[in-house]
Amino acid sequence: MKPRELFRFDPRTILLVIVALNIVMFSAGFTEIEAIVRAIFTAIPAVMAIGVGRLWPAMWYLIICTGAIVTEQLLLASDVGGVGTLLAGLASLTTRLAPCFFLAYVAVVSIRSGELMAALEQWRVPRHIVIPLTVIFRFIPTVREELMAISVAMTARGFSLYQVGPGQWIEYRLVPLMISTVKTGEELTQAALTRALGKPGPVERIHEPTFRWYDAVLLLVCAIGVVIWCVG
Amino acid sequence: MQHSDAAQQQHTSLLRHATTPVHQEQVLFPVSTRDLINIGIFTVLYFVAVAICGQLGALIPLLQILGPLYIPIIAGIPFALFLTRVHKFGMISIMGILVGLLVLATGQAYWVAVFALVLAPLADWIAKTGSYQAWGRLVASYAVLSIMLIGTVVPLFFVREAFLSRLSQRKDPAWVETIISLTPQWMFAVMLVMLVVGSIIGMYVGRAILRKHFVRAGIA
Repeated sequence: MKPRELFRFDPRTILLVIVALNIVMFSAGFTEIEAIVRAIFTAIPAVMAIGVGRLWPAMWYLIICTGAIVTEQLLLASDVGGVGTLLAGLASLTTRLAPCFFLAYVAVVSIRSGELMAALEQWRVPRHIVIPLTVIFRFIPTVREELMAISVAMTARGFSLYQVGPGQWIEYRLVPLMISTVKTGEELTQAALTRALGKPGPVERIHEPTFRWYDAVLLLVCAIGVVIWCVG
Repeated sequence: MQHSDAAQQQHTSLLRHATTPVHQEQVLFPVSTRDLINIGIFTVLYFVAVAICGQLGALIPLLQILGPLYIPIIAGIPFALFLTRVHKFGMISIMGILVGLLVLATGQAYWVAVFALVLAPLADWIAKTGSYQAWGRLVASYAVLSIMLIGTVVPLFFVREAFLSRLSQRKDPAWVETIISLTPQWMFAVMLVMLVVGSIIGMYVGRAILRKHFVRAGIA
């Protein structure tokens, strides 16, 4: 079932939001204004996910983030040692990493390969980076599906972690996954070469990336956030 | 030897130029589209291997600390298979830089990307001196490439210090001292050694798996 999209973001917008989010999340600030900016940037991936029609993942993400932020604040305010400190560290790591991971998820589910290639070529990224990067975007969902199917099959055949131990457990998941991925990759290569991937000169594309008003709004919010971050 | 190698490479690139029209860049840096697609696929597999490790680490807490040791071992399996596809300078470099970019995009550590810019071409060059065949050079190459993963720990050390300095405003210094002594700075060096040892073991494991499964399946 394909989720219904409200917005189709320009891949360039998504890449720029990733950059902005990373700038903000890397610095460890805890003043009043920095907390507000961080809250805004935590919300942005959720808004984008809802925009591309992924309502439930966005809800789960918001629940996890809120939980982590509350835990962090509560534990830092009170004097708890040992386990409390460890838990606070874990919570603060979650508040920092979860937005980036979730944004990566949004990017993978919403960017079309053709659009990404066109966008990166407009930025004059060399094709030595463009082609592998597009393949990565194209393959992450495939590999995830394959891995889940293989996992189910192997568990059904009695290769679960508690029955065979970690060594075999990994071997019996990674090896079939690699074989199927490499085979798929070979077919993809044939298909791509047939469709003149790597052809010299300009190419025409079915999906041209288009910059729309919501891209502008999103980038404006990010820009304001980063500026406040730098000033504050 | 070096000269004939260069001449050979020029020869093949000239041949390629004669048979198929190629990009200007491609002549300067001869990696074909097929190679580029392979790089993408194996970068994903390398990532997934590390992700499976993470899943295992979440189940068994002891594995969390041993991360730098076992992650390169598991990641060695896709890397060993990748090396059977590598035959030109640039492939390992691009893969390393892409891994750095992906780690950067998932917001874990920009240090990985910085290290990748230096270490990936170095690893590539080491493998090239053995013309991507000599086993010892390939192992050394993988060990050098794996060192870039130490970048994920660098900011953790930084974040910890910021965390501790914030704590010391509320707690007495003696308490903070105990925390620092419990997680000492030399752990960083230990992790580096673990990475190198792990990647050497990883290449041997990778080769064993390659012989056991992939050669038989006809994809190695």
